[in-house]
Amino acid sequence: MTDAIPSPARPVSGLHLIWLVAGFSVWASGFILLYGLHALGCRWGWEEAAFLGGISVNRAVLIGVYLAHIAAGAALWLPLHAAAKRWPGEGGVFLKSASVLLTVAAVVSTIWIGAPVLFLAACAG
Amino acid sequence: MSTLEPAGPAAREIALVWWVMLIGSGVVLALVCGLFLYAFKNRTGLAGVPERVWLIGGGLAFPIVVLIALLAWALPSGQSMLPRDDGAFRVEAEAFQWGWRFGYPEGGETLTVLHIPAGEPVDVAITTADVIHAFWVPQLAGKIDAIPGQTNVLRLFAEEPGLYRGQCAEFCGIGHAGMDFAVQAHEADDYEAALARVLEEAGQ
Repeated sequence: MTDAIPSPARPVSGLHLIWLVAGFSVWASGFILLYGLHALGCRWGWEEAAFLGGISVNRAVLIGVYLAHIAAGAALWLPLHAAAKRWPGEGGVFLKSASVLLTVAAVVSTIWIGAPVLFLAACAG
Repeated sequence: MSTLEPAGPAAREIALVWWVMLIGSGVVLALVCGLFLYAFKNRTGLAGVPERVWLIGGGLAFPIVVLIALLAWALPSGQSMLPRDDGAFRVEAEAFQWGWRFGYPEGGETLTVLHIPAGEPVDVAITTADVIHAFWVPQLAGKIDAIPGQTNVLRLFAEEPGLYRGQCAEFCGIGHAGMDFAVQAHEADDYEAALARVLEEAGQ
């Protein structure tokens, strides 16, 4: 029964640090895809192509990418909590709160930076 | 050629954003410097304010509120400058190393000076023959890039007839600094005759 005594020296694994950047990786993916697809959509004439309900294919694609990234960011919640339960010691407590704060900040930021796809004109000229 | 002497609605809007940001940042700077000086003079005067107020109030809430307010204003303001499908008069601009060629709907082209009617919106369809340049007439509108293989449209509006200077606003090689041009806005009634005279003088 040697593992009945908690080992204070057991560190959080370096691999767990990925939770610090997971939220903002989703944010970065959303940013790059919205930025790139916006430009390509305008260039490829997606703005003139009608989608359901009178919105353009361009806007439908951008809104789809936007919502998918919000959902992906929010979906990190469950695996993050499940993983954090196994993080030991003081380092684990710190890593958990830092990961949760960064993930929340990333989701809020994803909602904020992409919101203009809902109402701004996409292409000009 | 100053952005602070706007001669059309879009340029006026841009100048206003500039002034509001200048005055706003001046007020914030004065506030921060004032607090700083106060803290020097009176070491304990602000000791009662919890750190939370400085960090969350001053560091997070204050900039978020200021930036949201600026954004809520700037987004519709930027939208209002976009060219719309309203049948506006349309001319073409082609940049090259190092100069500008302007084309007109009835045919003909001018070098260096773009002739437009005053008092109405004019869309300029901008492209380039070689590298990236940028079209900028500070008194009439914002600036837009001229990109190879791509046409970008910028809406100009000159409220009064006059000569408005422009400048290539994207470094494009050794002749960039000298790549200036001008927009000559004519009385709308006289525009076609004026353009015809210019083209005739150019032997077209």
